[in-house]
Amino acid sequence: MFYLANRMVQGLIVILAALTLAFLMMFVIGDPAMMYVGPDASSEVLERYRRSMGFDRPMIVQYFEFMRSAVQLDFGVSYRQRTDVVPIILERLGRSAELALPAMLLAALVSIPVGVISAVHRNTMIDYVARFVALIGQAAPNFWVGIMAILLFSSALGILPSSGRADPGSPIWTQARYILMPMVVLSLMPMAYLTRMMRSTVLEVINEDYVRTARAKGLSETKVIYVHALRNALIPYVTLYALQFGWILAGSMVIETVFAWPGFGRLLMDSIRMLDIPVVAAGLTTVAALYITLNLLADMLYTLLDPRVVNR
Amino acid sequence: MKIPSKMIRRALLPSLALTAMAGAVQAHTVTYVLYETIDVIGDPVMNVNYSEQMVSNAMFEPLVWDFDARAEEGEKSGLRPALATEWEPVEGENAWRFKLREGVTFHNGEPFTAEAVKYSIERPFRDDFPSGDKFLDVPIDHVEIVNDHEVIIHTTEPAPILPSQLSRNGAFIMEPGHYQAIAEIDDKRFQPMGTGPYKLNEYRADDRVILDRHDDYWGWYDNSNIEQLVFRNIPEESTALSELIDGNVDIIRLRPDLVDSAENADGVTTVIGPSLVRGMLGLNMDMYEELRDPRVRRALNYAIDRDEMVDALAFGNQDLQMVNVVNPPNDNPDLDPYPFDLERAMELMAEAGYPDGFRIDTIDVMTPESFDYAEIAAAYWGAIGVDVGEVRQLDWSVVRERWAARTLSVHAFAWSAAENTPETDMWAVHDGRQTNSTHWATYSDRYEEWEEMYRELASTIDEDRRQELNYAMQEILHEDPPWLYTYLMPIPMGVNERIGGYYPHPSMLVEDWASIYVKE
Repeated sequence: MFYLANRMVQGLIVILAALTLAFLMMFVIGDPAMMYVGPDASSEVLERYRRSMGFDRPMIVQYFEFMRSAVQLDFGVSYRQRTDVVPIILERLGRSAELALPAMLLAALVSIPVGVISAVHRNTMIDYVARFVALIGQAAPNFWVGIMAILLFSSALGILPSSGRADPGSPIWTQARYILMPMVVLSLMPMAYLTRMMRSTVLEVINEDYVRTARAKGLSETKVIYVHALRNALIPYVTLYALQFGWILAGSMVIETVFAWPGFGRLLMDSIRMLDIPVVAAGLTTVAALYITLNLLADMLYTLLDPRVVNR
Repeated sequence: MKIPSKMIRRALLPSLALTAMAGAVQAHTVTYVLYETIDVIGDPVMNVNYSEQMVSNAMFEPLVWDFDARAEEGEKSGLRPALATEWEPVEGENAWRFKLREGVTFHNGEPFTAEAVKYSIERPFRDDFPSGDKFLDVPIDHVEIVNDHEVIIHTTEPAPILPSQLSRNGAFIMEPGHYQAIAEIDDKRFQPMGTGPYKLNEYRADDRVILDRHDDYWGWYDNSNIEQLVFRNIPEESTALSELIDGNVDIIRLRPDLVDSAENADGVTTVIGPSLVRGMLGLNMDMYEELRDPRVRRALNYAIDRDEMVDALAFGNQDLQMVNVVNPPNDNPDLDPYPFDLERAMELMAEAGYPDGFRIDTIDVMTPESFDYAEIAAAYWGAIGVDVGEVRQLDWSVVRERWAARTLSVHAFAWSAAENTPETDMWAVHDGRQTNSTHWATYSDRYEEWEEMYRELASTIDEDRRQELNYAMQEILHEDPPWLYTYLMPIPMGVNERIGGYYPHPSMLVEDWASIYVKE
């Protein structure tokens, strides 16, 4: 319990640091008032707009005002979209989750068995092929893979739509077809990392004493690997999985751009370009919170996988 | 073994059928791709990028319009009636009289009257209006309502090009009752309410804007049969091309390197329209002392082989070479583009005291389409000893900051003055333009003379005198160039073959939506 409480306090500190960083970054990047009135505006118009946005106040006053609102999850109104920030973030996060959740599920479904099989059949053809494919998955830039996938599955074969998101009211099958290609491309990178991680951790544990003991007890090899070895091999895997999940949910702007998917990554990128401070601040806080939450979930999973963690 | 694609297709037939059902273009729906994000659609005055302007242009109209896609080649541009049917300057006053079109209705059924003109034109000049970007260079004083279908727009000074200026987004006419019902001037609840050919059906951020036909639109052409106009936001050009080839979208702007792919695709035609967008390199005289000497700036212009540049980047259309910042038809016919003359360039450099050249640390590229000509220019300049350290693409947020502070280095900028008048074209070099990073006014001996003529031009109604001033000013810009002039950038568009009546507007900011139809 103390362990989890400790991690939550650490998480809060990280979020506050992220908020501070977001606030400071905005002052470094440029003058948001200029962004909205345009560079051709007269100085009077610029000053008026600056006043209306509160940018004429001392920086420290703005900082505390910003932090006070932020801890109440009130990030104000988007300068560009002129609507509350939190619903915008939640909507876009939901869209990104439509890709990220199945992508990470697919990554797990592939990486765990392939990693294990690759480790168990170390230095065989199966292992070489699995390692080679994983290496390609890691090395190929995902924008290139995305464009190649569009050319193959949309332009050449014509079996999947090239881009966009299906109409919200369309049948689930139609929606799934729009999700399929970006989802698979998105899953490739984490799938490759996770497969390599699974292989190396299984290799580490299959020579441990408890695995030998299990074998000595006469258990079948499948049981030895999937019940005894895998459970211990999963601890570092879960850590990496949580990190990859955070990355894929918040940082998939390249895939979202290639497939014209209206997700969270694109929102964040456009908002940074347009100096939409409320959206950027809320977005960065969301990213920090996501990583912390996912790490916390990973920590909780450790305690299930290895109860000794609680006692440490 | 090569697997025939026919076999693959046959194997995947059920899936293909579903694709066709899901992705096929609706018969009377036209889908137009926009690359930039679309955030503001309720208030055309607040639009900040071309995507938003495009969408507004389909829903709103100005008093005066400047394009007709159906007209003969060469006659498509030029002022023509939109919501105003006639206009003339008021004798002895700083004012223009506009007669308004009758029988026009807004999307909500309200009639279009002089009240809407007064509200829309005066609104951006209210003290609490939050944007300074649009329309402020138009000297509006107030709008006088003569009757329901006639207004007089009073200006604070003579405004000879007012009708042209009123064709811009900032002067789009909005339904006053609808907008006045919302208290705050930049309120988020703004829904677009104009008189244009299309009205809003649905907006999905970063995805698409769906517009429905406004049946009561006054300006439908006889063959107009579009029921729905969809703007899809696809940020990646190659994805957009793929969608065009697949038949899922109808009109896209093509990156020059994708034109061949589009031309070779079945079911796609390419249309390369003339353009008002000028590719220029601003020469920052404040940052580089050497550039203060007009001989050096002339040398930089002589050092460029525009024929080659146009061959490489503008589909070989040599008519697009720029003489100076004023676009046709207002360009001075007695002036020619600088010829490629390295010898003359070297002479000028030597006369100016720089026989060995000098260094320009960076060329700041402000708009992505300017990168190629900036790189080519840098390479040519190397031949006269002008060493460019780096050609770098700046992010737009950085551009705007440096632009406003006038601290851009030598800067590559594709710029269009949609009004297509001499003074708006030459505003690019005027010192009153805060974003002018050339500092020509500070370092040129001829700026004062030029500026005096500019002031006279901006207040002269008489066409002969205007032409005289315009041509004289262009001569100065030619002899003492603050910019490197390259070429007018053509607009290559990829169009689905089922679409008829499409011709790109030369500003790239708007289109003639009423002209487009689906071939039956």
